[in-house]
Amino acid sequence: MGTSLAAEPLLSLAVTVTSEQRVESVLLSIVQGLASQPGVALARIWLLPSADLPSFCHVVSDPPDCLCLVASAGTPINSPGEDWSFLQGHFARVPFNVGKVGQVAASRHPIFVKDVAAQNDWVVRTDWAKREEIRSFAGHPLIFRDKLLGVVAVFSRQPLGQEEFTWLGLFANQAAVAIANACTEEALRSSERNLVAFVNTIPTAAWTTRPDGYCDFLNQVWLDYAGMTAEQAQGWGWAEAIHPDDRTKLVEEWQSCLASGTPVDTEARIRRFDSSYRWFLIRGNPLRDESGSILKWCGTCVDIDDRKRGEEALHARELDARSLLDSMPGFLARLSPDGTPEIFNRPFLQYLGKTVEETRKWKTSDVIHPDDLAHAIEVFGNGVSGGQPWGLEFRLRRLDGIYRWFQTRWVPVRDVEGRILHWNALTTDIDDRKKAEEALQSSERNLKLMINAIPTYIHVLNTDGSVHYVNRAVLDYMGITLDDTQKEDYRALFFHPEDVERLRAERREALLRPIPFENEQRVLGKDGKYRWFLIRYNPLLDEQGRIDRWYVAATDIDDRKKAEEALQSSERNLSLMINVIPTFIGVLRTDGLVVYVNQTVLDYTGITVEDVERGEFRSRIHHPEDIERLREERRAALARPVPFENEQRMLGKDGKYRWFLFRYNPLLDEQGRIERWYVAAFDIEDRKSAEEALQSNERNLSVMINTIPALIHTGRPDGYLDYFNRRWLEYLGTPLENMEGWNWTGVIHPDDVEGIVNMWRTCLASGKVFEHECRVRRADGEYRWMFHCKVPLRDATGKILKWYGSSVDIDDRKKSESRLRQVIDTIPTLAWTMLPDGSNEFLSKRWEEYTGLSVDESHGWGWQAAFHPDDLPALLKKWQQLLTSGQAGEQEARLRYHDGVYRWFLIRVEPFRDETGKIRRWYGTSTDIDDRKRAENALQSNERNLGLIINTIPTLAWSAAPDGAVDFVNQRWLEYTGFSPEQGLGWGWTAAIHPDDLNRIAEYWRLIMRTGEPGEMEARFRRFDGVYRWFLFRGNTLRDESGTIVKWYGTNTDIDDRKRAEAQVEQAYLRLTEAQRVSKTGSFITDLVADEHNFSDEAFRIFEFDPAAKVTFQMCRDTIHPEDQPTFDAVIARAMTGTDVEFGFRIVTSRGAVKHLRGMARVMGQSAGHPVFIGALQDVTESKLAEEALNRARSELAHVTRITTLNALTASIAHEINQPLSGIVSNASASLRFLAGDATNLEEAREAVRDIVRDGKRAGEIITRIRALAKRTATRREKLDLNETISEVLAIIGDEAKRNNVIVRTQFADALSPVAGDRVQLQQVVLNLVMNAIEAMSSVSDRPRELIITTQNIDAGCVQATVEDSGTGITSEAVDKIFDSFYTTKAGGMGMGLSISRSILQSHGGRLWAVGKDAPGTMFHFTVPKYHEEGSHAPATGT
Amino acid sequence: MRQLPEPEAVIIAIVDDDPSVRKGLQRLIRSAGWRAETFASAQEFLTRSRAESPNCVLLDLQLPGVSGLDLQKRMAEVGLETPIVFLTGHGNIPASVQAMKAGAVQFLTKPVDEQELLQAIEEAVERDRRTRQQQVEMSELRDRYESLTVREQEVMQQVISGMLNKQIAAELNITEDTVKFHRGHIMRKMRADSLADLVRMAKNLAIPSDKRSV
Repeated sequence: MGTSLAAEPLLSLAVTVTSEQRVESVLLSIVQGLASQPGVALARIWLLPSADLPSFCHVVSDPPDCLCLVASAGTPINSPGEDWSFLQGHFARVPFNVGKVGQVAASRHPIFVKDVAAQNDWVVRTDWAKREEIRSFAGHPLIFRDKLLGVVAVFSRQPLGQEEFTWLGLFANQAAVAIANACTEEALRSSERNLVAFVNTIPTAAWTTRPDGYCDFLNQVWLDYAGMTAEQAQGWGWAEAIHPDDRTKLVEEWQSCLASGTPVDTEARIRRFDSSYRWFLIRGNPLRDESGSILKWCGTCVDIDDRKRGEEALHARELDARSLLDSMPGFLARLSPDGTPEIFNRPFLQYLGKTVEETRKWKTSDVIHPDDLAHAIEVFGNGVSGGQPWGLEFRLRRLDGIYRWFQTRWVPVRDVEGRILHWNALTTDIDDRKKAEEALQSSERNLKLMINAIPTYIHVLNTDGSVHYVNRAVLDYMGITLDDTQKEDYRALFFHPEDVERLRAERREALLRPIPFENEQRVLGKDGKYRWFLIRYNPLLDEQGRIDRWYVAATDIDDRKKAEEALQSSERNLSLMINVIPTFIGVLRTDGLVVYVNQTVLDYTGITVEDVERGEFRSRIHHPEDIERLREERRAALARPVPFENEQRMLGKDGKYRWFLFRYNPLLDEQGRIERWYVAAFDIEDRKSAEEALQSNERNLSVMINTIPALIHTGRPDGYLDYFNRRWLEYLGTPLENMEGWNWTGVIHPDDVEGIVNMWRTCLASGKVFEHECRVRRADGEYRWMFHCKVPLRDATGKILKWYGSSVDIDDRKKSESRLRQVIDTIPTLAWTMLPDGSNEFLSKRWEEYTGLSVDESHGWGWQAAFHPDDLPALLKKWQQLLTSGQAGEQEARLRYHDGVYRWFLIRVEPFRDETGKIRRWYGTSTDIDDRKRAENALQSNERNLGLIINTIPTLAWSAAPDGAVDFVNQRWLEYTGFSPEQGLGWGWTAAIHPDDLNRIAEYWRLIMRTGEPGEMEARFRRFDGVYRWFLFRGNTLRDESGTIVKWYGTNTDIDDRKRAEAQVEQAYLRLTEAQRVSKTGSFITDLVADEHNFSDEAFRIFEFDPAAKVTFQMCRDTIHPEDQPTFDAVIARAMTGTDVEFGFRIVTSRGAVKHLRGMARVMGQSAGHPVFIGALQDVTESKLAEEALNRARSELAHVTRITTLNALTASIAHEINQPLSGIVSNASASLRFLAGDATNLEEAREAVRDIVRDGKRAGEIITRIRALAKRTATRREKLDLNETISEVLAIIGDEAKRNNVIVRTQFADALSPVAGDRVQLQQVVLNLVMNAIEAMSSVSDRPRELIITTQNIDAGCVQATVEDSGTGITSEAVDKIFDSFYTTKAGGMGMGLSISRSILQSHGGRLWAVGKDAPGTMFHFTVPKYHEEGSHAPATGT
Repeated sequence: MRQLPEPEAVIIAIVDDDPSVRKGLQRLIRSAGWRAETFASAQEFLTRSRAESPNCVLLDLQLPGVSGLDLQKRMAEVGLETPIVFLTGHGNIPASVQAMKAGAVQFLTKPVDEQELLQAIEEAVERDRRTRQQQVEMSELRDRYESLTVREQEVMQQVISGMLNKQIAAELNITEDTVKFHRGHIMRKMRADSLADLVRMAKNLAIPSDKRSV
C-alpha cells in the first residue's frame, strides 16, 4: 500500500471540487473525495458561521466563535451501526481553541499528528481512535483571501508523512477557494431567486426597460392586472393597455424622459383584464453604472384610481359647489364661528351691491332694515352662542335702496371633534311670499268688511249648500235676521214657488263641481214682492283644489229681466238678428234678392246701401269663378226651407278676395213658409289656405319619399310594416304585398331572420331606436349586408304613432373588412429567391409590405438596406460562407419594418440545384422571431439587474421573515424615513408609525401573520422630517412548493393626497348636502343619452325616490304632472341639442303630493359625444302656493270690486236699457194704434216697427256688455281695439255722467294699433278711472265738468290711453299712495280700485300712473302692449 | 167763452236727449191724434219759437246740462204754466217728490205704459185747457170791471162789502136812488146774476172789500 494521500489524486480531486457550484456539493465532494483516498478513515469539515454561508447550513451562530461540523465522510471498521457520512452536522460544535480543530481554527496553522497513539493528548475519545485503528491526523485551516472559513481534517489509518501533510495543505487551499466560490454563487442565486419572488410578490406593479425604453420586464402583478402575457407586454406591447386618450401623451413623455434621463413621473389610465380602466401613477428611475450611463430603467405603476376619482369628484364638486352657489336662487354666506362674515356668493353681493369687506361690520352697516336690526342682532347673538341651527326673517337693503324680506337659515359646520368650523347661511328672498301673506291677510280681513259694506247681496254657503253667512244687504232686503237663514224652510219661504224645484236640481249638481256657476231666480223682499236676481256662485278652493266655501253674490236684475221679457215679446226676428250680429249679416228675400246687409258687410266690401237696394253689387264683390256655381247652388237651396251653407270668395275694399263661409237660415212663418233668409258670413280664409298648404305638403312628402335615393319604410306601433318606398321595392324586385306586415322576413338571409325579428320585437317593446345589420336578398338573388335603422315617432304624450325606417347597403364595407383580416393573418413570413451570385431575384409582396422597400429598390443587393447595420456584416459574412460552401444555413438578423422599427428575423436559405448539381437558385424565408429574441434577451438581462430594481423602484418596499421580523427595506424606504438600515429592521419600523395608528397596525400585522393571508391597511407613516403622511401598507406572502410561508413582501404606498382629497370631498359634500337641504335644492348630473342620472340626496328627497333606486329618465318623467309633461318634453328635447336649459314644472310624487319645481341645467362636458349636464332643482311649492293664493285673492277682489262698481252703476245701467226700451214700447204702442184705427196708417206702422228693431238691438248690445263685465271669466289675451273697448264702457256710464252733469269727450287716435288684453279686465280699469273722474268732479261748480279720454300710439310696443278730469285733483303726496290698497280719499271708497287696476295692467305688461295737471284736475295714463301676430302673447307676468 | 181746442190743435212738446225715445214718443202721440214737437235739450226747448205754446211738455228727468227739474224751475220763473209730465229711465223718490211739489202732472218711469202716458197727457191737456179757460174768463171779467165808471167801481166796492144801499149813500154822500141806479148798472155791466155772483167776481178780481165803515 502506497502513501494514502498522493499528489495526483488530490489535484484531480481539487479540480472536481472547484467545478462544483453548490456549497453542499463542494463540501460533500471534499469529504467524500478525501475519505475515498487509501487509508483515510474519516474526513471532516467544520465551518465558521458567516453571513456568506448559505442559510441551508443551519449554522447556529451562538456562541459566536464556534466551529460547526458541516460535512463528514468515512468508513468505520469497528463501530457497527455508525454512519460517518453526512452533511449538516449541527449537533457538533467546536469552540475555538478547544481540541485540535479548535486550535487549528484559532491559530490558523495546520496540525499534523503523525502517530495518534504517541500523541494522544488531542484525542477526546482515545478508545474510539484505538478501536478504529487511527494512526495519523492532519487538520488544515480553510483560508480564503485571508479570511478563515473553517477547518478540514483527515483521520488516517495509515501513517501520514510530511509530504502527504503538505499535499493536503495545498488541497485545503483549493478547497477553501471552492467553498468560497460556491458560497458566493449560492448567495447570488438565492438572492436572485428572492428578488424575482420579491418583485413578483410585492403588491405593486413593477417593470424595467432597457436604456432605449424597450420594456424587458413586467412583474406578475402588472401582468395579472392587465391580463397580458409577458410576451404581449414586452417591448412596447404594454402600450396597448394604456387608455387611448392617455397613450400618446404617455409615450411622448416617456420618450422625452428617455432622451433626457430624467425620472418619469406621470399618470395614466391602464386597462384592467376586465377592460375597465384605472388611473395609475407611473414612476420610473434610470439605473446608472459608475460612469453614469444608463443601464436600465426601473419603475412602478401605483394604482391611484381612488385618489384620482376622489380628486375628480372634489374638483367636480368644487366646480359644482361654486356654480351651484352662484346659481342658486338663494343667497349663501359663510361666517366664522364668532359670526364674522367670510364668504358671500355672487348673487348675494350683487344684491347688496357691496364687497365682502363692506359686509364685515354688518351690525352697523345699512344692509338690515332699521326696524329689524335689534331683533336680528339678538337672534344672531343667541344663535351663534347656542351653536344650533337657527333662522331669521328680516329685510335686507338692495343695491337701489329698496328693502326686501328675506329668510335666512344658519347651520353650523363642525369638525370631527364637534367644534364649529364655520356657519353656513342660506338666505332666501321671501319678499313676494311675505307681501302675498300680508296682502292675503289684509285682503281676507277686508273682504269680510267689504262684504258687509257693499250694497250687493252676498251669501256664503257651506259645501252642502247650507247657509254659512249672509251680509247685511240680504238681511235688509228680505227683512230677516241671520238666524232665519238657518231655518229649514228658509228657501221655500223666500224663493218663488215656481223656481224652487228648478233651483234645487241645478244647485245640487253644480255645487259638486269646483267651478263658478250662476242662475237666475226670484226672491221675496220684505215688501212682499218678488224680484229677479242673478245669483253667482263662486267656489273658494283650498290648496288641494277642494271646495271650501261658496261665495254667492246676488244682483238685482229685475229691471233687466223685465227688459228681457219685453225684448222677447217684441218681435221674433229681433232675436234672430241679435244672435247673428257679430258677423257679416244679410237678409234675403225668398227670391234671393238682398234686402239688407249690416254695416260689417258694407265696411268690408265698400259697397253702399244704395248699391244693395239697386241689387248691383254681386258681380262686384263675388269672385268671377264663383258666381256661376253659387247661382246654381243658391237657386236650388233657396227653394227649400232648410238652412244651408256654401263657401265663396268676397272682394274686400282693399282689393283682395278672401274666402267666406256663408250660412243661410230661413225665417219661417207660422205655416212654415219661408219669409226671409238670414245670411251670416264667416271669414275662413286662414282655414282655407291652411287646408291647401296641408294638401300640397302631403303630396310633396309622398313624392319625396319615393324620389330620394334612400330605402325607406314605415311600421305601425305593433310592428306591422306598412310601407316600403319605391326604391326599396325596386331593390328587392318584389311588390309591396310580399313585404307588408311580417312578410319581409322572406327576403332576409335565413341565418339572420331570428336575430332581426328578436331585435325588432325588443325595440317595439322598449320603444328604443332599432339598429341592426343583416343580409337582404336583392332582386338578382344576391344577399347583401344592409344596415337597418328604425326610429319611433311619438305624440305629445310619448305614445308611439309610427316607426320610420331607413336601410343602407353596407355589403362592400363588410367584405373589405374581411379581406383586411386575411391580410393581417398572413403577415409573418417573407419569402424570396436569390441568384447564385448572392443577388436578389425575387421578393414576395409581403416583403415589400413589411420593409416598405419596393421590389426594384430591393433588387440585386438593394435588400441590404432593410437590415440593421449592426447585423449586416455578420449576415454578409455568413452569406458568403454559404455561397462558397453551397450549404443550407440560417442566421438571425434584425430587419427594418417600414415604420423604422427593427425586428429580429430568422433567415433561412437553401440551395436549389439542377440535375448537374449546380446551384441554380437559393430559396429563402425570413421568419419573425422578434418576440422570442426579446424574451431571451430579457431573460438574460432580467436576472442581472433585478436586484437593483428594488432599490430603484419609486415605492417603499420591504420584506420580512415568516415570524414578521422585517429583514429588508429598500433604499426608498430608508430615504423616506431617514432611518439607517439597522433601524428599519426587525420591528424597528414601528417607530415611524403614527402613535395613534400603531396599535391598530401592529395588531393587524400580527393577525395576517397568523392567517398568512395577504392584507392591507392604511396608517400614518413618519417622514424623515417628522411629517406624517398617510400610507397604504400592503403585505403578501411568498410560499414554497409545500405551501409554507418563506417570506413576506410588502410595499408602502403614499396615499396622503388621496386621503386629503377624500376628506375634502367628504367635507365639500357635507356642505353641499347641508346647503341643498336648507334650500330644498337638489342637484344632479345627468347624461340623457346614456340615461344615467346622478341625483343628490336632496334631489332624491324632492322626488321622493327610494335613495337606493337607480334613477332613470322614465322614472322622472312618470312623476311629472300630466299637464306639464309637454313642457318637460320640450325642455328635454332642447337639452338634447346640448344647450343649457332652465325649467319649471310640477311633479306628483308617489304619495300624491304635488310639488312645484324650478331649476336649471348646464352642459358640464361631453361624454362619448353627447352632453352631460349638471343642474340644480328647487322645490318652490311654498312660494308658488302663496303666489297662487294671492292671485286668487286678487282676482276675487277684482271681481268683487267690479261687481261693486257695476252695482253703483245700477241707476245708470237701468237708464241705458230703459232708453231703447222706452223707444220700443212707444213705437210698438203707436204702430198698434196706427194699425187698429179706422184709417190704418201702414207706412207709419212700418217705420215704427223698423225703429223697434233698431232699439231692440241696441238694448241687447247694452245687456251683453254688462253681462260681460259682470261675468267672471278666466283671463284671456285677445286682439282688442282699445277705442272700441273704451267706447263700450262709456255706453254704460253715459247716464251716470249725465246725472253728474259731466261732459264726456273722446279724442281717439284714428289708426290705433290693436292691443293684446283681456277685454273685461281692461274695461274694469277704464270703468274705474271714469267713475273716479266723475266722482272727483262732483263738487265742482265753478267750471265745466269735463271728462276727456284720449288714446294714442306712443311707441312700437305700446298704446297709451289717458283719462283726464277737471276735478279737485290730487296732492303730490297722494300721487304716490293712491295705488296702494285701501288708500282712499273718498268717504265711501274701498281704496281697492286703483290698486286692482294697476295690478291688472301690470299683468298685461302695461303701466298705470297718475299726473297732476296745471289746470285743476288729474290725468291718469295707462299703457297696454300692442298685439303681435306671431308671438301672440305680450310679455305677461300674471297667469 | 172759448172752446177747448180740437185734438189736432193740441201740441205736445217732447224734451229728451235720446233720439229713439223722442221718435217713439212722437209717433205714439201722433197716433193718439195730437201734434208733437221734439227738443233734444232744455236749452233748445227754452229757445223755441213762441208762436204757439204747447199744451203739455213730456220732460226727461235726466238731461245733459240743464236737467229736467231745472227746466221746470225756469218755466215757473218765466210764468210758463204748461203742464209737465216727467219721464225718467230710473226713478228716484226725492226727484219725483220735488217734481210733483213743483206742479208736475205725473211722474212716469220708462218704458212707460201707453195708457198711463196717454192718460197723463190727457190730464195735462185738460189742466192746460182749464188754465187757459180761466185766463180767458179773467180777462173778460177785467174788461167788464174796466167798463165801470169810477163811481160805479166805488159803489161796487161798497156793495161787495155787504153794505146796505142806505149806508152806501151815506158813505158816498149821494142819494139812495142814485145808489140803486149805480147798482143796476154794475150788475148789468158785470153780467152778474146775483150779489153773490158779483162778490165771487170781485174776489176773482181781487178787489178789496171796503171794511172801513164797519
